Amino acid sequence: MQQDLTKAEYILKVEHLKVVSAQGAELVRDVSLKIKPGEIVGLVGESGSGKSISTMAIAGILPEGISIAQGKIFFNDRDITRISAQERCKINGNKIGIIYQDASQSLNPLIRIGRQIDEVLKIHTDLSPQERRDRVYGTMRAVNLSNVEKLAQRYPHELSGGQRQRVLIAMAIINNPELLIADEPTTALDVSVKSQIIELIKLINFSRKASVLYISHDFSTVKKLCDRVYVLYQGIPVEVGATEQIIKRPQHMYTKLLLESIPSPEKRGQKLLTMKARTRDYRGPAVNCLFAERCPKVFERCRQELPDMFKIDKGHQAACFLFDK
Amino acid sequence: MTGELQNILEINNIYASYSTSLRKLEFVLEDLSLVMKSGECLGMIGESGSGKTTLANLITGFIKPISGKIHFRGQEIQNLSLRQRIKQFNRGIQMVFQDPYDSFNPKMTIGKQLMEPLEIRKFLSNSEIEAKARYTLEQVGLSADYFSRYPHQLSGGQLQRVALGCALIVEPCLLIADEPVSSLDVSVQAQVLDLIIDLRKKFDFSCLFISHDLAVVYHLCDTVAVLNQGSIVEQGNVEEVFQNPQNVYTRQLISDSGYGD
Repeated sequence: MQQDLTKAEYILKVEHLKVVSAQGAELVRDVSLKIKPGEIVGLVGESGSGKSISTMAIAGILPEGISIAQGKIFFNDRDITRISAQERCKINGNKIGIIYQDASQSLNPLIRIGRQIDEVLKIHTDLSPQERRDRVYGTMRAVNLSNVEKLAQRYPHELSGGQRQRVLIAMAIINNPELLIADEPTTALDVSVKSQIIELIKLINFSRKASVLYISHDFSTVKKLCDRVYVLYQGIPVEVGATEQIIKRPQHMYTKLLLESIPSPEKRGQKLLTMKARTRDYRGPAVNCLFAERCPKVFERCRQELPDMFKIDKGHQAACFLFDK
Repeated sequence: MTGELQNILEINNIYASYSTSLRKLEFVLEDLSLVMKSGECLGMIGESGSGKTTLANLITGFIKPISGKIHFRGQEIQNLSLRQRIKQFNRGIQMVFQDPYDSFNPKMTIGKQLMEPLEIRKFLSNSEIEAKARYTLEQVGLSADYFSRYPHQLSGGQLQRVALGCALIVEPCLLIADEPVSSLDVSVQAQVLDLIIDLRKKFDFSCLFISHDLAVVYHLCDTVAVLNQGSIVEQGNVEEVFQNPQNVYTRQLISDSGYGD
């Protein structure tokens, strides 16, 4: 997983992305990330960390008033930061598939399931209606939906949460995208359905060779799914590494805080947190380490400068002055 | 009242349904029985649709069962109205809900909402009520200046603390927490869990903790009941059930959550 800048071998490369609101609040401060073909990369952070906004910027679907202030986004070595809506339309739903968080709000309640999935094909391919129908049914089966002919005739409200999420995944993968963006696809689901969806994403990654950008606040699913993880705090990645490095040997204090927040058998009935409670997010320009006021290992330099990424191990970096050697 | 080991809650053969027609009766809870000991924290786990919230609503009296009995501290309560409940139990049943943003009146200050449960009960003077509200606010880890703020000025975690305060201010015997941490971020969730553990030591209450997150239930609860399709399929000590589940459904649930390994 060594980062190699000389070769253009990344399916997605984000460089110093900065996203601001109309009022000037910095929602994403400085995000750089890379995804290799076939890799599953996790983007972990709490609400307000900018993980969803980052992915919206990548997909070109930022809400009105929020714009990219700086940085570049390369998809297959092509800069897609400021492409036209028509160009964007050729990529989204075709080369980039997106699975949204809330399945019940992402489907049109008035249109039958089959037609909604078919719409993606209608826009991006010139297949005949018969071919399209076969492919819709085929994809629905591929996401483990059963009884697909009947199901295609149903409306979204007639489906369970897990089924709706599968329909969304079917829509995202029907054109065999090179990159699949999954924005917290399991948050609203039950444990058993959750683990099925994780398995399904793994399968899609394997069988269709799609790279996956998986956004979550939940380390338990990230652990099962991702090859590499970026931990985001207030719009800046604070730690990057292989999943095992991040989970077994976390270095940045914020990653440690996130991991200690998860109840585990060893800590049963004990206090979980050792660090300071979360304060209101600061949205101005970052001049010092943003975690400084909560960090138990804070020292003078943290309050004066913004740390860069420092190397810890092969592929493992953390934005903390403790590792500046 | 009587002995220490009294059961705070006994539910016997409860049937509940939301069907309006008797001809097409579909039961949400079917022949459910449950015993909860005084002072214990019982975790209720199960998938969505298994009837967790319906059970909570039955105990609090928001809905009435079709048949079956609920005893709270030895007294039959399933047919009491909410008003009768307040009259009969000074220290009754209180509830904390899943979504903190939906649990508060946006036009009332936090302090006012903390005082309301005591004002309804009319056994304290106004100054006593305010003093108690301020004390409770402090107990849930919020500073005094939150007293005059409005709900929209607080974060989800802070509101959930206030919700706990509102429930505990009347010193209930039984707290029903319906997925109180599911909508919170991990670190905020950890804070609220820490707070619940803390409050259980300070205020002495039994707790029915409903959750779909097995890790949280294992962390917090003494005993656990597994609900599947309206019936309890397994109940017992948390450690025993998690390490050695007897029921097939429980086994599946625990392996899916990755908690078995």
